[in-house]
Amino acid sequence: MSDGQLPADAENPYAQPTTAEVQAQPTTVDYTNPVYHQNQYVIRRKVFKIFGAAFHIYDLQGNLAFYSKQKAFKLKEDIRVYGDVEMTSELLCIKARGILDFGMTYDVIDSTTQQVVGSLQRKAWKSFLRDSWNILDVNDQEVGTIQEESGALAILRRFIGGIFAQLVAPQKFVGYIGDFPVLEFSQNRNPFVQKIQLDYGPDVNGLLDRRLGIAAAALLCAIEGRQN
Amino acid sequence: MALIQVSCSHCSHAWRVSEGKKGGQVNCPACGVLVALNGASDSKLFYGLLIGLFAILGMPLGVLALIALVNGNTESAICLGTLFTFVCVSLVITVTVS
Repeated sequence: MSDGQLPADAENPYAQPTTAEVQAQPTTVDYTNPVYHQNQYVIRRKVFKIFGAAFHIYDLQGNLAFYSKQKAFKLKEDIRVYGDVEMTSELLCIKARGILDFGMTYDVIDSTTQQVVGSLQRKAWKSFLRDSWNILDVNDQEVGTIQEESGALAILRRFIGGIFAQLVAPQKFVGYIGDFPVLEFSQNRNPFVQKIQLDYGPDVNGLLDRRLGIAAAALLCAIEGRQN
Repeated sequence: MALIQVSCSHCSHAWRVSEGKKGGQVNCPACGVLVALNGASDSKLFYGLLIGLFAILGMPLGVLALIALVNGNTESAICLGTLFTFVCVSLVITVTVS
């Protein structure tokens, strides 16, 4: 045997891995994944989408944190949140309990553990003047609210509507758990590029389950965005 | 609030949840499997609206088609009858899908 040659029975350390070894492992993203625990996200709506809706959710560094897609032609709303654009790792599933979008409750399910995380309920009558949502726990007990920040601006927005509303008074939502503020959604002023800033900054005590926060962001973009 | 009976598809455990959860998803308290509750939380309102829509759109079309047929106005009867059939088929499809 000359120098540089391996014995016949020795394992070649430079050998190419076989196909089975390089196959992607099934994604097991869970709530401990740091992707949930960023303090700020930017949500961008995909403009050229005819059926359904799709959103990219980026972290502060501009990396894609989530990709959300609303299924088209569904009687009951069905929104999924994935960890990538290829939709290989489903993280959250948001499903409406009913058909009509009037005071509807949406269950939020962690797709990786198949556990119901909680629910988000749109306040039907109150939302005529000011968009309001309830955050419910798994037993449907109200634990928090999300609502437009200013009642007066909300009414103004309903009168002027559309592009002008976004220019003059972009929507801002504030979420509370009990009396403590936990999140803020701020819409940008550019009506042609729908961008929403999600800020968990106020949640210093970690009261909000971040999965519910991401689900609320996806819902607000899909449901409120459609109404706009 | 009224309660509805739920049975786990995995372990057959039976328990009750509030009617407000109808159409939603719950975890089985025994085995933790995700169980989908059939129906929709607003099915009564939905079907009420469908019947109302049928009463407003479908019935007058049907009646007008019959009147046209009795009066010998075949072309109108065919047009109205086609519209009536379209409304009926749309409603049947919606009810079936839901």
